[in-house]
Amino acid sequence: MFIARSETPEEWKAIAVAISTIVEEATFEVTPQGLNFRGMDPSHIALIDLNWPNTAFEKFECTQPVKIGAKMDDFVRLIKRASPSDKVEFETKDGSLLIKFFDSYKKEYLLHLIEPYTTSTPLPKLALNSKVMIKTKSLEKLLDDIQVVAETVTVSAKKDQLILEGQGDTGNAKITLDKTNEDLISIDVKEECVATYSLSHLLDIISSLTSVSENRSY
Amino acid sequence: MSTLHDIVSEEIINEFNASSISIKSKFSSICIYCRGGRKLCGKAVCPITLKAISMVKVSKPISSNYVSGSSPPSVFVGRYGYPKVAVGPMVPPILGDTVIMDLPEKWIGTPLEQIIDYRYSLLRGKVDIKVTEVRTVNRFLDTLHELAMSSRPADSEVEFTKRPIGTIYLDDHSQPFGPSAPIKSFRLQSTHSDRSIEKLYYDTDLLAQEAVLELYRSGVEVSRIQRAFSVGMFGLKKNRRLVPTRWSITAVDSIISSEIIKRIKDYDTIDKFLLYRHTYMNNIFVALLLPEKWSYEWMEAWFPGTFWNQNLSEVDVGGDYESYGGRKTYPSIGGCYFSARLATAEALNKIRRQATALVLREIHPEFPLPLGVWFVRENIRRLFQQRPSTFEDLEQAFRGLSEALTVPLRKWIQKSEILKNHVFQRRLSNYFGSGD
Repeated sequence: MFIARSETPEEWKAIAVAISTIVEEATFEVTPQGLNFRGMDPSHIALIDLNWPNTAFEKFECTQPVKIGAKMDDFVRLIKRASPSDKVEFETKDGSLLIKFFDSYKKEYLLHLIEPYTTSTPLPKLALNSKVMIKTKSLEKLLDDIQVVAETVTVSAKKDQLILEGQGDTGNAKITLDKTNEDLISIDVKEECVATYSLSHLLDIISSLTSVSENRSY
Repeated sequence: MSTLHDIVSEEIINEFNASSISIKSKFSSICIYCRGGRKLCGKAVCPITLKAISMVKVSKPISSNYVSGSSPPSVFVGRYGYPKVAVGPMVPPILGDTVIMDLPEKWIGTPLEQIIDYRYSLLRGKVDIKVTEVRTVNRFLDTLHELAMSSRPADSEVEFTKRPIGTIYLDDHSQPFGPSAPIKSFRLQSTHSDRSIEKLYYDTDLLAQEAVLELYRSGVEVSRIQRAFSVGMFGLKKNRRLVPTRWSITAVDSIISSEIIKRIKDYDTIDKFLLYRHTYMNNIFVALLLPEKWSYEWMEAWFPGTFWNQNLSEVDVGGDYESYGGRKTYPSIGGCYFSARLATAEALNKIRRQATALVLREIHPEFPLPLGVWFVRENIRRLFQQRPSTFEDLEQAFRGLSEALTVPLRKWIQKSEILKNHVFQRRLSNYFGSGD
């Protein structure tokens, strides 16, 4: 038995869209503590690790752990039917997921679930030397600016600077953010480091989260 | 603009009424000095001469406004002026078994001159019709549907409003086909309808996509499906419309391959790297299948002196890619992307496996002119009929790939998403520790 209710559908929309950018089918693990998802894209380039605690919901009931498998295209299509002012509630029912939207009237969808994955995705063991927190919308804009000329972004974290660079057939782009920049919430660099990422992967995920997220950490 | 006298031999001209053909050359500076003799453009056979020779062959029987012959069957829907387009039958001035003239599935192995002859022998009649007219009663379109449904060549008579005139463009965008003229009247003798197409034609409650897939599953050739699709014979009655031939080819390739890809995503991945190679008419086709989830890339390398690379001194490489989730935009490289994707998906479906497929084509200067996307589809089908070389790891596979191609691998890597992904992109799975 699982029931989760949220004040607005916006987080659900953002999370569902973000997950749908990396997998076609997702398995959510629900425990009394909250709702979890971890999955990688088929090329093993991007991973989403979601931990959504029960305290984030208006109502959350889970008597025993349950796995919910869903086709993300279908899930996104249904959740997008919610208006911003709707309350949204999810409930497992006989192998399906009952999705209810409440506002001036009640709207219900029954989504047929798929067989959940039995194996779970492990977390990669990464030694990270820098942590930068930046506003999500700013990060999206910065990446968009780089994408004008490049397909990849090279991020350099220095003691008091964050540098984003890209190069392509038409030319190069370089953006420098000083530590004092108001979009840069924090920058903690143990050791200066450089990494290059595919812009399409980064932007797909970040763009879907800008509506609900204030901060983004590296 | 130069005239036919400038580019074909005197002997040919003597047999031919040159005033009915004009030749427009985008690269007139080369062609004027060459005139088909010096091969300044680098091709073994001058494309304009080839076109002109075919024109000569058909021009004699059509010195009047009237043609009688067996349509393979063949129809053509133009795209200029959309949504009002020029549509009509294609009829050669020959009676008998002409089915080969519009059945590209059977053209591999046929000499180039013969293929061109097929294309140019088909005289195109034109009537300007709004694409949605297909939903109403229209006798001309009904006759055209009857022709498109025919399983055998259909004896036809076409009366043109004026004598068909052929214009030859050196610009490669124009697909080769014969002279055309507006139709005054079009008569069709008895036809033999293909039952499977006929059934779907009369089913006005079935989506066009479903009709295409049903025909494909029942073994109807892709070119036949495309022909019927272009004249608006499938789909819900209220949605039916004429589809320009060029678009219909891509639509059918795309619909069928998308469906097969859905299926192959349920299969296990291949367990080794497989490398296929096939050469045909100065083209090299190579496919590298990697033991990973489905993704696909189609790339072409045009050598200097080929149609698409007239002025460059370097090989020009271009292509398009789709990840596991598929594409959301039309590939810039054009319809050949979907033709190659169809042949690739068919090959994987046959072995009931999925893979990441990198499919490459080198076009060498001796290849005189592009013949349409069928050339890609049928050659990629042939490619996957070859016995593949197998490799255990990526490094060996790359070495094999490099040996199979003449364009250096670094040039492909610069443009290829799949190659870049494997050369430069690290995988998260590389960082999984044991027991995690």
